[in-house]
Amino acid sequence: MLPLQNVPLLHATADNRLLFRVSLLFASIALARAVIRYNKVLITQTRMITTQELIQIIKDVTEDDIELLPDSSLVGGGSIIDSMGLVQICLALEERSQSDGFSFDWTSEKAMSSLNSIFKNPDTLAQEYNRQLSAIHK
Amino acid sequence: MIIVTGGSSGLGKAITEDLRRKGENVATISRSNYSEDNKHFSCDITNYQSLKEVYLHLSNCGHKIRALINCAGIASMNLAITTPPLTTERVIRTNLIGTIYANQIFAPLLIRNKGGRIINFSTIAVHLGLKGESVYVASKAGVEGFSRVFAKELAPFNVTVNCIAPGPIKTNLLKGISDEQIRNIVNNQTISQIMQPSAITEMVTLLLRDESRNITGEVINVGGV
Repeated sequence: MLPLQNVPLLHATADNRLLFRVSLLFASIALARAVIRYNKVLITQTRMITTQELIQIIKDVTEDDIELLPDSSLVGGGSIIDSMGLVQICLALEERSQSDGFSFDWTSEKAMSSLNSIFKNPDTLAQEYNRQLSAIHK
Repeated sequence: MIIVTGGSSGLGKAITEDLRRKGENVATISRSNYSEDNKHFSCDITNYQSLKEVYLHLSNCGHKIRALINCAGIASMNLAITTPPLTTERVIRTNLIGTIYANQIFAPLLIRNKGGRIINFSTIAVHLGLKGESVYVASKAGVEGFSRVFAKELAPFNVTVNCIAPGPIKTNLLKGISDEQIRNIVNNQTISQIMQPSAITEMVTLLLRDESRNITGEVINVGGV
């Protein structure tokens, strides 16, 4: 039987041992990063707001028994929400965003432009909320 | 809590001190770094992001804000055609845009508090239309117009928005204005006398009272026009 130090695989030089330790360290860091990234994605996905949740928030703050669809207008001529309701929706979303670790910004240039307004309907508002949520967890 | 912008000097300081004497919890915002306490935020009101950070801080700390008093402002007395463009820009940015930013950013705190008061500052010169104050008057006329409309937007939330328009008051803002100019303004007021800062602090106290809840969208010319 060979003595242990004569077994070829275990007969590593000091250089090889160092190389092995460095490789192990890098692998651990990469693994940790992947886990953190996965967790962030998971957190972001679980906190994403659905259009239905957003519709419920709108109904709660306006205290009206209104029929809202994902594509119902929130601003403009055909809107069923008044300016007071719109402010309340903004504040409700800001409150929710603070518990999600960010502050929902409704004052972007894009927010009120007629073609791409984030207030166009519940669907576009939910999309904007989720875009801002994803941005902070990147 | 009451927020006072421009609270470290002039009328803003007088208002802050008066409110604190009356037991109010006052937070001040100004460009100055100096602070007698930890309720001062060093911030330029023309910088939207900086103001937003103050808002987020106050919001996250759960402070209940019952009033916003916008005193931050600068004056420049020149004939319009001799006013340098940078001066024009600085006066409009600070007096008009800065006031609008503060109103926009802090109003949600008052709405959350289910009501409150916003007091903006104009000048009696808007009504009197005196020579040599065109740019300054333009900036303050903008504040008056903004306040009237913003009052309508905030009325459903029990938030009132008013303007106080003082005549000449003995503060640093009067530096560089000749005695003759001051006399000219005062002579045009209904009450022809230079007002003391107490005339303004009393008006602020009046507007903050619950009994003033139905006064909104108004410009109150102290001294009368």
